[in-house]
Amino acid sequence: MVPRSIPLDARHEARPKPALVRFRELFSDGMGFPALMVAPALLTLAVVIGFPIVKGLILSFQMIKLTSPATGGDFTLYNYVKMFSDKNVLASVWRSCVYMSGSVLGATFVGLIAALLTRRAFMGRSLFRTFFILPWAIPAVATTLVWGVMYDANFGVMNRIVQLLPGINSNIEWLIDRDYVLGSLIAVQIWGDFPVAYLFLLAGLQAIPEELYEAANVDGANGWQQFWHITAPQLRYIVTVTIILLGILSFRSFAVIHILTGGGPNRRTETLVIQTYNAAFRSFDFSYGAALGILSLIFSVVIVALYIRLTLGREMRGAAAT
Amino acid sequence: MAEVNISNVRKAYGSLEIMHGIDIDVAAGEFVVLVGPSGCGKSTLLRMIAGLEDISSGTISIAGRVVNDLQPRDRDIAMVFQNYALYPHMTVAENMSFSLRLQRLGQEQIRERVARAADILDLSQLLERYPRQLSGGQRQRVAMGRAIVRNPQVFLFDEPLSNLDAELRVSMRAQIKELHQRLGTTMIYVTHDQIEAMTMADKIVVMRGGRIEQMGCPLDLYDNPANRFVAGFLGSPAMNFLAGSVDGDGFTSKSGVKVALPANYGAMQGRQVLLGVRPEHIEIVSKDRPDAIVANVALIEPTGLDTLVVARAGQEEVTVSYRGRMDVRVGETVGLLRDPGHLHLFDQSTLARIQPADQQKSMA
Repeated sequence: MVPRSIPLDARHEARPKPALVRFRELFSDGMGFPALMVAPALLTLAVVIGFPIVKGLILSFQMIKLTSPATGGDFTLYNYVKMFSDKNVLASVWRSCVYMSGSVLGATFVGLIAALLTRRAFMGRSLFRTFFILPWAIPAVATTLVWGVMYDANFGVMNRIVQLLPGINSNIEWLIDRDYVLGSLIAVQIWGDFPVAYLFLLAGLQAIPEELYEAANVDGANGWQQFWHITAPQLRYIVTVTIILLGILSFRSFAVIHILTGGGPNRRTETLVIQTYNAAFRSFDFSYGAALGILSLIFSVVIVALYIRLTLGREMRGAAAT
Repeated sequence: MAEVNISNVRKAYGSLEIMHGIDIDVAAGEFVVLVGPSGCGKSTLLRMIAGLEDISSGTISIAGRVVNDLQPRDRDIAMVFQNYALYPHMTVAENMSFSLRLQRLGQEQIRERVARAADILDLSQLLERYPRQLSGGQRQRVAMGRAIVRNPQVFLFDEPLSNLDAELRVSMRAQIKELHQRLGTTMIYVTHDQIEAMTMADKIVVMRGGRIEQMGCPLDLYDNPANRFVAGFLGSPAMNFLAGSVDGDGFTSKSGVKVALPANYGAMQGRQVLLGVRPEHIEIVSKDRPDAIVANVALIEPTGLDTLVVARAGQEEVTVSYRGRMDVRVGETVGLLRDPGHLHLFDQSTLARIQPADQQKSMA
C-alpha cells in the first residue's frame, strides 16, 4: 500500500535536483568552484606576466650575452655583483627618482590648476575639459616626436618662445645641454601625464559639497582660506592616490626618453628603465638587462604596494570623507 | 542683534523673474519664519540675505547698512544649513572654532567661546569627535554651535530640522526657540513645515511663487488668512473648502449643501464664493437637529489626542477634528454643525478673503 502521507524530507529527496545544484556539489569543500571561476584570469596572468618575470629572474642569474658566445646558462650571481658595484646604476636610480618626482609633482600641479579652472560652470567649459584631456588621447610616440621638433635648437619653436623673454638671445640646446635636458624631458612627461591628474582631481573637486564652501564663506574665509581649509584637506586622499599612480606611470616611462635622447647625452637622461633597455638591446647583455629589470620590478612593487595599502585601507575604514 | 530690511528685492535669470519685489522688515531680535511650499522662493530669499545668491534689484540692509554688494563673510551673519555643512575633516571643536580662528582671536578666547556654546547646546562631551561619528541631532546642534560662537547680528536657518525624525524635530524646535529667547538675536528661519512656523515664529511670512502671500503674527494669519492659499497652507488638518454661492438662505454649495451665514455676510447675494471652515470649528451632532447638515461618516482617524472624521455631505467631503475620543462608526449618518463665528468666505475668482460687512466698516 502506498502511504497516505510522505515525510516532507523524503519527498524533497525524491525530486531530481537542479543541474546547477548538482554541479556546485562537485565542489563541496567550498573552494573548488571559486577556484574554477578565477582560473582563466589566473592562467592569463601566469602566461602574460608570471612567465616573463620567472624567465627574467632565471636569466638574471645566468650569463647570456649575444656578443659573447662563450657565456652560458649556469647559475651565477655575477650580474647582481656587477649591478651593485656599477656607479651608473646608482646614478640611473637617482635619475629615475628625479624624473619621477619632477614629472609627478609637475603633472599633479598642472592637473590641479586645470581642474580648479574648469570646476565651476562657465561658457565653453566642455571645450576646455576636452582640451585638457587631449594630450592623453594622442599616442605618446607621435606627441614625443612633435616635442622633438619643438625642442630643435635651430628651428624649434621653444627657442622662439624663450627668446621673447628679455636677456635670452642665443639658441638653447634643449636636448643636449646638460643643464636643460632632464628638465626638457620632464616637461614632455608632465604634458603627457597631467590629464590623468586632471581627471582624478576634477572628480575629487566635484565630490566636495558646495555647501562647505558656502559655510566657509559665511564663516569668514576668503578664496585662499577656502582652498587651504576646505579644498586641500578634502582632496588629500585623491592627491595621494594620483601621485602614486603617476609615480608608477613615470617611473616606467620609456617612450619619451628613448625617442628624444635614448638616455644621452653622456647618460645624463639614462633612467633605470632606459639603462635596462640599453643593456639588453644595445649591448645585448640579456642577463645584465634582466638583473636591472628585476631591480626596476622591486621599485615598482614598492610603489604599487603603497597604492594598494592606501586604497584598501580606506575601503576597510569606509569613506573617510564623510 | 540687528534689524533686517528687505526692500523691493527681485531675482531674475535672464528674462525669467522668480522673485517679484519682496518687502519684509525684520525688527531687531525678532524671530521671523519664511514658510511656503517647495519652489516658493523662501530658501532663495534666505540665501540672498546671506549673500550666497545675487539679487537682481532692490536692497537688503542689515543694521541699517546696505549689504547688496558685500560678501557673506562681511555681513556679520551666521547660517545653519539644511544638511548642516559641517567640515568633515575637522572635529566638533574645530568646526565650532573655525570662524574664530579666521578672525585670529586668541586661543584662550576661542576655547572659552567654544566651551560656552558647547555648554548651551550640551556638546561638551563631543568636542573631540568628527561629524561622521555623530547622530543627526548632534550634527544639527554642532551646526548651531558653529553659528552661535560667532555672536553674529543675524542668524539664518535654512530648513535645519528637515533631516531629523519627528521626535527629534519637536525637541530641536524647542531648543531653537529657547536659544532665541536666551540670545535675543534676530533670527530668520526657513521651513516648509507650517507647524514649525506656527510654533516658533514671532512673525510668519507665507510665500508662494516668489511672492509674499501674507505676513504677520502666527495666530493672526491662522484666524484671518488673506486668501485661500494661506488659509489652506496654515493648519493641520487643512481648512475645508466648499465651492458655491451666497443666496437668500446663506451659502449653497454646488452640490446643494446649505450653510447659514451670519448676518454680516448678507450683502453678498449671488456672489460665487468658497466657504472655508477649519476642522476644529465643526461639531458632530445628532442628524436630527434641524440646523445640522446631514452627512455620512467615510473615514475615522483616531490620533489619541484628537479624532479626525471625514464625512460626506452630498458630494462634499468635510474633515472634522474633535479633541478626544468619539463614538461614531464608518457609514453612520451624523449631523455637522459649523461654528458661525469661524467661517471664512473667499472670492472664487480672486481667491482673496471676503471681509464680513462689519469688519469692512471697522477697517474703513
